[in-house]
Amino acid sequence: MDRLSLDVLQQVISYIPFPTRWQAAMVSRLWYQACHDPYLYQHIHLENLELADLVHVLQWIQRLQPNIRSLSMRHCYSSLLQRCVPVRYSDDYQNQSPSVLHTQIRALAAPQREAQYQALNIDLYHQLNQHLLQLVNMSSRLTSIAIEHCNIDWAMTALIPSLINHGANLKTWIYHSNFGDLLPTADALQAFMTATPNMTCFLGHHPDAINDHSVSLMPRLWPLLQSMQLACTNTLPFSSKGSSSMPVATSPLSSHVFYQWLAASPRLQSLELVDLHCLSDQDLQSAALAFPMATVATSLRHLRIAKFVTEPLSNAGINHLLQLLPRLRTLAYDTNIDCFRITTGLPPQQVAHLWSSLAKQHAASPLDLRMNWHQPVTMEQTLLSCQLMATQ
Amino acid sequence: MSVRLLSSDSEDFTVAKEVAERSMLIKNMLEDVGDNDNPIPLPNVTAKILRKVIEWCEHHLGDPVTNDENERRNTEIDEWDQKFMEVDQETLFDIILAANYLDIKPLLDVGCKTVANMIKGKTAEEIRKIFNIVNDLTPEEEAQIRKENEWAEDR
Repeated sequence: MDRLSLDVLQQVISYIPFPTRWQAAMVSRLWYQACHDPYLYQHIHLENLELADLVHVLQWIQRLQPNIRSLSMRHCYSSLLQRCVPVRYSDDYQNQSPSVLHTQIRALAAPQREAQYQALNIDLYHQLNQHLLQLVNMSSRLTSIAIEHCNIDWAMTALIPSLINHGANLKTWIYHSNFGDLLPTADALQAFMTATPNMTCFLGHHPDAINDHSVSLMPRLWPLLQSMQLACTNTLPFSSKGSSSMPVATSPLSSHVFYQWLAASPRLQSLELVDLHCLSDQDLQSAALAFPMATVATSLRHLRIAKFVTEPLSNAGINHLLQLLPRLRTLAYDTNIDCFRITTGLPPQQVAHLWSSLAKQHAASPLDLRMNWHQPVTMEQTLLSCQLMATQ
Repeated sequence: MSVRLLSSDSEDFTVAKEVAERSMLIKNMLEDVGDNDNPIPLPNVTAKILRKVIEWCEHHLGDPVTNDENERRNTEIDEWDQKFMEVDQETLFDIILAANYLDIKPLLDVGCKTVANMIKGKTAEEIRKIFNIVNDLTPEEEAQIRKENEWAEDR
C-alpha cells in the first residue's frame, strides 16, 4: 500500500463510501491528508445514508470548502419516512405491530408536512437545507446534480431557489424515484429553465411541472438539450370503466404542443416518456399525418416509453411512432401487468404477441427493441387500484 | 498492425495496435514516433504484470469509452474483472501502478474499486492490518480526529 502515490491513494479513497471514509482518515497521517483534500470532493457521491448521517456528511464536506462539480445522492433515506405507512393504503392496518408509526405524512401536501415535522420536533430538514445550500453556493463550477431513489422529503429544501441563483453552469439534472417534488409547478420549472441555459441532460421526474406552457418554452430556454425525460402529471388521468365518480383529468400537456416540441428539438438524442397521454395510438396517428417523415427530433436515437397508468400502445401506434422517428436505434418499452389491469384497451397477451412479432419484423434492422415487463408497481398504480376498487 | 512492447525485465511482447492503444501513454508515444519497428520500453512494468495488463486490454477491447463521471462511478465491477482481480495484494497494487503509469483509466478504476471493496465497512485498525500500514499519528492527533468525527463512531 505504501507504494501507492498520494494521487492513486486518493483514487482508492474516492471509492470508499461514508461512513467508512472517516475510519480511513484515521489510518495514518498520509491517509488523513488524502481524505481531507478538498480536491477529492469535486465529485461527491453519497449512497445508502440515513438522513441524519447524510446531514453530517454534508456538514463535514462543507468544512473542507470544496468547489464541487458534481453531486450525486442515491438510495439515501429518512428512517421516519421509511416507517410511515400511508394509513389509507395499508392492507392490514388493523394488524400492524404497534412499533410501526402510522402517520399520513406521505399523503400531505408540502406545507402540511413541514408543520408535521415541526410538531414531531424534527430539525434535520432545516440542517439538510442549510448544509446543502452552503455547498451549492460555494461551488461556482457545479455542472451536475443527481438525486435518485432517496426516500427523503426534498421538498423541505430550497435547492431549486439556490440553483436559480448559482446554477448557471448546470448541465445535468437527474431527479427521480424520490419523495417530495423539487419542481412542483410549471412556474418553478420555467424559473429553473431560465436560470440554467446550459442544460443538456434533464432527467427529472417532475410531472406537475410539465404542461403546455413549460414545454413550449423549452426549445428557447434550453437550446442545448440532448437528453430529456418528460413525465405526465400524476393527477388521476383517465376515464375508464365508465364510472362517473372517477376523476377525469384532461392532460396538461396537449398533443399539439408535445409534437411541436419534438419538431423544435433537433439536438435531442435520448428521450424518456413516462405516462404521456399524448403518446397514444390516436395521437401518434395524427402526428404521423401532420409531420412529414423524419422531420421531428432528427437526432433522436434512443427512446424509452414507460406506461404505468396510461393505455398501452398497439401495433399501429408503434408503427406510426417508427414512421415519425425512422432514425431510432433503441426503443425500450417499460411496463408491468398492473398497467393492463387499471387501463382499458389491449389485454397483456395481445401486447406480448405484438412485441414478439415486432421483434421478428425488426430482427434484421439496426433498431434495438427492448420490452421490459417487470417494472415494479408504482405509487400511482397503487392509488389508482384503490380508487378503482372503491368505485366498483 | 502490431506494436512491440519491452518490459522492465527485457521481455519482448507483440500486441495488436488497438490493444496497446488502450494505454494513453503508448497511444501518445505512437503518435509521436510514427510507424517504426523498435519496441517501446516500459521501464516501470515487469513482464508478469504487463502480461496481465495486456490480457485485460484484449478482453475489454470493444468497450465503449465513457467520460461520464456518474456512470463510471456507478458501474459495479463485472464478473470477468472480479476474477481478473483475484490476485495477491502485491500483484493487485502492481496492476494499479501499471494502469496509472500506462494511463489506462478504466483498469485503474477497477483496481481502485477492488481495493475500496476490501476496505468498505472496516475500522481504521482493521484497514491498517489488511494493508500492513504503520500508524504514524500521535495519540493526541488521533484523539483530535476522533473528536472531529465523533458522531461517526459506532456506525
